[in-house]
Amino acid sequence: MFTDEQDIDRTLKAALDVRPSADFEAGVRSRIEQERSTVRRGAWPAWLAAAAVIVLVAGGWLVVRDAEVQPEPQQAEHVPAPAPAPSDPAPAVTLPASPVVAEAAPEAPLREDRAAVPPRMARRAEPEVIVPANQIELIQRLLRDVEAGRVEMPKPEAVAAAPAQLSVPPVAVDPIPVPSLDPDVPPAPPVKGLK
Amino acid sequence: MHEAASPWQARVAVDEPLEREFADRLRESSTLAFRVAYGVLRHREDAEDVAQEAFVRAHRSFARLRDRDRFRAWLVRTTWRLAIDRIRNERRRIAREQVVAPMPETSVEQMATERERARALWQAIDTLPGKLRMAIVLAAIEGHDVAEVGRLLEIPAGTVKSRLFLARQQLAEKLCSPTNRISTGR
Repeated sequence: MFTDEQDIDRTLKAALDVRPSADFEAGVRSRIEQERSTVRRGAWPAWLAAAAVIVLVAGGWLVVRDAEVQPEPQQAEHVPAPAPAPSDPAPAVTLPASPVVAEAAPEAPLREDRAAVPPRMARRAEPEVIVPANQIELIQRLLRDVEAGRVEMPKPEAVAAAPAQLSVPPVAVDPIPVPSLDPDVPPAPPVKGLK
Repeated sequence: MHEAASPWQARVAVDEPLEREFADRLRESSTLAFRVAYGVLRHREDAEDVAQEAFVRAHRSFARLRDRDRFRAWLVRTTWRLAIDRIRNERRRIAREQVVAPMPETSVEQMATERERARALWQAIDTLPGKLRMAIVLAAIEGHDVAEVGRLLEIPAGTVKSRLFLARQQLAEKLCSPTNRISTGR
């Protein structure tokens, strides 16, 4: 079929002497444009999801910040109850003297010292949140809405009271009779309930 | 840099100098990519599809492929790989078009003979190991000497020569009659 290697080369060169159609380059450009528009459309859900996450993080940060700013409940016998925070309509609760409170008494001096410290420094160090530049405006808008009362943030729950002491009656467990190993001694009768 | 307008509100920044460079590469290398794909697929529409896909992928990574030689080497490798993948993924075998360069005053009988020779040649090429196959196809694309094939495959010229030698030897064993085989060290 082929005379020699040169014949093979010639046939192969001829077979590969082909050109793409006239609209090949236009086809490439159209695919690139299609991919760009797909990326743009796909970016929307990702952008919305990112914005939703930022809103949730900012909301959570505000909740945590408010919880930290509120002073801790004081003992009636040592320190007077603090005035309620402006955002909290419920009055401060004075804890009755109780064994739980008495146990906590040694911590009172520390609370007094903390009360003497300016509220800003009493707060725990807040974690730094890095916000992308194009989302700062969104967060600022959220904060303004929260401050203006247009957005309701969930109120922090009240400090849970210490759980009541449980009284657990002692449990008596009868020893299980172990059968004797002496072959002359007959085995003990089986314990009720055991098979 | 300008922003591409779109029906959606999000905008994509387009780097114009980069786009112009890419357009130049597309113009220079479209035939190369098509021929590489055709060398595997031997079907015009499939070869165009694969070659276009290779260009789209090149566009994604164009920032690091701006060097001409690097771009062409990357394009050849990617086109080849996409064409091989296309063959592997095909569910049904379609008849492979075998285009034979029309010769002046070719009779129907001669055309049939040429088609048969081309079919046998492609079958033989398909049995070559991947590296030899790629070397022999690239060398057969017009204008590609050993140095150019070396640049496209990013291998030394000596390696190209040895691969071409082996490829031609194996093809000759399959296609030539024993008395006519001439092993050349081109």
